[in-house]
Amino acid sequence: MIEKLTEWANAGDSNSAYHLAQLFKEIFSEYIKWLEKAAEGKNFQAMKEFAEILRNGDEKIRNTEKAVQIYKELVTDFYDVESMEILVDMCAPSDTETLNLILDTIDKRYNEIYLRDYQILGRVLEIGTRRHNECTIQTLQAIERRRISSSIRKLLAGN
Amino acid sequence: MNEKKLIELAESGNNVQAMLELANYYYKKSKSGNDDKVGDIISTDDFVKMLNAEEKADTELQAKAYKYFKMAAESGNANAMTTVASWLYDGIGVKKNREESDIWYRRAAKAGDPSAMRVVAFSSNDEVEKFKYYKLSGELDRPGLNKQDSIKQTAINYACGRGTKKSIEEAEKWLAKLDDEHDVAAAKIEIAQITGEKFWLEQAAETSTLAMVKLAENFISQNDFENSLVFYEKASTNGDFEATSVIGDIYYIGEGNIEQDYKKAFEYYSKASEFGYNMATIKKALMLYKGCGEIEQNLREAFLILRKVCKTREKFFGVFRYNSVAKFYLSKMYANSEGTRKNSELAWKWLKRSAAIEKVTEYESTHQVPEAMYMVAERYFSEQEFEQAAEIYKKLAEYHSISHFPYNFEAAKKLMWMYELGEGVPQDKEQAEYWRKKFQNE
Repeated sequence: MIEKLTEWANAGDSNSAYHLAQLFKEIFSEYIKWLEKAAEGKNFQAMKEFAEILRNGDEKIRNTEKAVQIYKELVTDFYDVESMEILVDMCAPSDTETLNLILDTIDKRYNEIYLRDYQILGRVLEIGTRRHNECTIQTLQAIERRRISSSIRKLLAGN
Repeated sequence: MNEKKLIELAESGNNVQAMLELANYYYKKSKSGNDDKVGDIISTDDFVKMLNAEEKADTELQAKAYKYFKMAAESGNANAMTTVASWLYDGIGVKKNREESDIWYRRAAKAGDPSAMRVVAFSSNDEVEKFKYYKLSGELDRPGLNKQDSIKQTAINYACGRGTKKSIEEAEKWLAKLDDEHDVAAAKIEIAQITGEKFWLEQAAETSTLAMVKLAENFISQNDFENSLVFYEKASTNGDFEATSVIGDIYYIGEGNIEQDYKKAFEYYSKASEFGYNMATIKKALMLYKGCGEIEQNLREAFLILRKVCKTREKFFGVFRYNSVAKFYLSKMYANSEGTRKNSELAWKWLKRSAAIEKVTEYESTHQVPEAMYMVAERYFSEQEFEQAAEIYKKLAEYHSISHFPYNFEAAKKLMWMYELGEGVPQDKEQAEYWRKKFQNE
C-alpha cells in the first residue's frame, strides 16, 4: 500500500500524498514532507493542517509568511471560513490588501448565500419553514462570514 | 317514508326533496351507518375512522347516491351541484373527472352556493372572477359556514386592487368584519407583502408579534439595523424566541451601525435558549467553545450544553430528530479531549450521527453536514472500508450547492481517483471520467 501511495504521490497525486502524511504521522519529518507535498497539490485538508503547523509550530518550522500565503489560497480557492477568520487575526489592521482580498472573496462568492442566509438572520417570510430548529454548519458559517466581513468593513473604515 | 316510495317520487323527476333524501339515505348506507362528520372539528381517530369507512364504502350504493344527487343538481339544487362537483373531483360514486367537476362547481357557484363560490374563487386564474366569488361568499350567511377566509381575501383584493378597483376604505371595512384579530394581522401582513406598503405592517405590528418580526425584517432589508432591533425587541418581549435569537445574531455580527457586542449576543442566545430554541443553545455553546471577547472560553460548559442538546430528542412535525451541528462539535470535543476525557469511540459515534448515516427521514438526508460526512468517509477509507467510504463520497459529490464546497469537490476528486486506480472499487474508466467531470465543474 505504502509503495503504491508513494508512487502515486510522486506522480503528483495530492490525495495519496495526504494519506502518506497521515500514515507517517509519528515520524515528524516524513509527515511534514508528505503534508507539504499534498498542500502544494492543493489538497484542502493538507493545506489546512500544514498552514496550522507553519503558524503555530515550534520555532524551527514556524513560517508566518508561508502560512499567510496558504491561508490566502484557502480563502480564494476554497472559500474556507476558518481561514478567513485566522487571516483577519494574523494580519495587521493596516494590511488593507489582505483584508480587501477576504472581503472581495466573501462578496463575490457568497452574495447568493447571503441573501438566502440573510433570511436566516432576518428570518424567512414564511413562518414555519425555518421554525424547525434546524442548525447546519452552513448556517453557522454564513453567520461567521457576515461577522468577518462586518468586522473587516469596520476595520477598513477606520484606516 | 320507505325507500320504494322515495324512489317513486324521485324518479318522477320533479321532487327534488325526495331526490336529496334518497341520495343521503344511500350515502349513509354506503358507509354502513358511519356518521359523516365533515365540517365538524373531529379528532384524528375519528378522521381515520372516517377515511376507513370511505375506503370500505359500498361503491354500488355510492353510485346510487350520486345518481340522485345529480338528478337534484340537474333540477337546479345548488347544494346538490356542489356535492356532484366534489364527488366528480374525488371519484366517489362516479369516475373521477376533474373537468366536469370544474363545470359543476361553477354552476353551483352561479346558483348561489357559497362553498362552491369559495372553491371557484380559490382555483380560478381570473382575478375578476376570484374577487367576485370571494366577495359574494363573504356576504352570504349560512349556518355552519366559515366565511372568514372569504372576508379576508375580499379585504386583501380591495387593498391590492386585484380584480377590482383599489380601495383602502373598502378594505378596512371588510377587515373590520373579521372576527379574529390574528386574521386581521395576517391579512395586513399579506397586503404589505403584495403591495409593499409598509403602513399595513406598521398597523399590524401594534398587536401582532408576527407583524413585528416582518417589520423588523423589512428594516433589515433596508440595512436599517437600529429600527429592526426595536421591533425584534418588541417581538422578543412578546415571547418570540426566534426574534430573541436574531437579536443575538445582530450583536454577534455587529451589523451596520450596531457595535459588535459578544456579551449581549450571549445574553440573547441564553434567553432564546431558555425557551428551548436549540439553534440559540448551540450558538451559545459555540461562543463558550471558542471564547469570544468578554465571553471566556469554557470548554467544560460548552461540552455539557452540547451533550444535553444531542441527547434531547426534538419533535418536529411529528418526526423525532437530532441536531447535526451539536453532534458534530460534540464529536470534535470527544476526539480532542476538549471539556471532557478523550473518547474515540464516542467521537466516532457522534460524528457518524452528525453525518446522518443512521438517518431516518428524508428531511434529514437533505440537511446532512458535509464536513462531518467527509470526515466519516475519510475514516472509512483509512480503515479500508472502501464501499462505505465510496457511498458517502458519492452522496457528497452529487451536491452542487456552494455550501457543500469544498467537500463535494474533494469527494468527487477522491472518487475519480478511486475508480481510475481501482482503489477499493472495481477499476472503471467511465466512472472515473464521470467524477472527473463533476470535480472539474465544481
